[in-house]
Amino acid sequence: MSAKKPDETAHREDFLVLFRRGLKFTEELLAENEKLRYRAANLENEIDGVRRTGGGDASTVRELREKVRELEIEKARLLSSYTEVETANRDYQTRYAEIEEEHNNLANLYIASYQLHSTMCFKDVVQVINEIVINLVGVSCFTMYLLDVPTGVLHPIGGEGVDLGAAPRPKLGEGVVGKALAERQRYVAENLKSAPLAVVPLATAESLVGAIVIDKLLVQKEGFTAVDNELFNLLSVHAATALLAGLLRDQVGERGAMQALTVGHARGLLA
Amino acid sequence: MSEQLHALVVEDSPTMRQLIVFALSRIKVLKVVEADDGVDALKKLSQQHFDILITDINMPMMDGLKLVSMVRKDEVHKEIPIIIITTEGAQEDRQRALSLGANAYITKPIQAPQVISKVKDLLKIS
Repeated sequence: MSAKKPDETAHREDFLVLFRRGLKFTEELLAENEKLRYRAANLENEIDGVRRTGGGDASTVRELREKVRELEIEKARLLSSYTEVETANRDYQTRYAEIEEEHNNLANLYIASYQLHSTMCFKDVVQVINEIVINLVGVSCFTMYLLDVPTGVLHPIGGEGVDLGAAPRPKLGEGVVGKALAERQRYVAENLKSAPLAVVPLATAESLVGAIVIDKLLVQKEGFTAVDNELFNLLSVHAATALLAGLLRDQVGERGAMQALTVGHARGLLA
Repeated sequence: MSEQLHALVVEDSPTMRQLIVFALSRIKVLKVVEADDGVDALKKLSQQHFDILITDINMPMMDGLKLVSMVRKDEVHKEIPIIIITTEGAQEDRQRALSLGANAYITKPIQAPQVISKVKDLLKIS
């Protein structure tokens, strides 16, 4: 029996060593486990943090994207409004220029008409027509003709840049000038090198009176304009009326004209 | 209230004179006086102050170029702005007028906005 004691002791010692090793291992395992728990807890916190932060950024990005989209829409709306305003502004500027031109043209016509009927003196009427053709139309060379009804010949009575004594005397119905008056049709040449450049017949509703024959424009004038046509329309009738009135008034004289200026005479004419 | 300015329009043609005066009537601060020719213009210049002179060239008695020349030699009026409005469209006519002392040269037939704009520029009014 005593021979087995050392074996038992050794076995016990071995067991204790093994037990202590197992204890130590367990303790180490527990410590490691604790570390891992701690690490896991930290990671969970980090993940939560990342989730929280990551989730917030996405929301902000969404909000910002929405804001950008709204701003893009607003920008497009403003650009569209700006384009509309710019177009309207251009339209207004064009309209303003047109109105300025119309105003200018009407002023020319008003003044031409006013001056034509401001006198009944034949000589002054001829002078006014000269001024209108030179200054308002812009003519450097022209002849004003009066029709001698008994002979049907047109005689020069005014003008600019021509020798009236040497000017041709067209016959009614003949040539460009005579035909224009006979037909009461304005003639305008196709190019500025032609002669005449234009023929403006002067006629009232009842009578053929004469013609304005234009040969040359002022050097700075490149051609006839819309207002020139309006001035020709005005001259066709108003210059004819003024010339005829001037002739009649000069024939009867100031006294005769005043004698005609009675209510009785006017009533008689209206009856 | 704006300061009243005075313009002298020298033109022998009543039609043209009326057209220029009509155009200038759109400048509210401008009061316009008319003269028939250069001699009449000098007389009116001696009678009152003018801020601007607008003149034709071809006129009886005294033409516009002579008028410009005389005005520029006059101590009282030598600084007055002068606009020529004329049928003479050749470059040498323009150069001659400007060399005599005219500030601007406008050829007929006139456009009212052009005259108004030039007058406003020279008088420095808006």
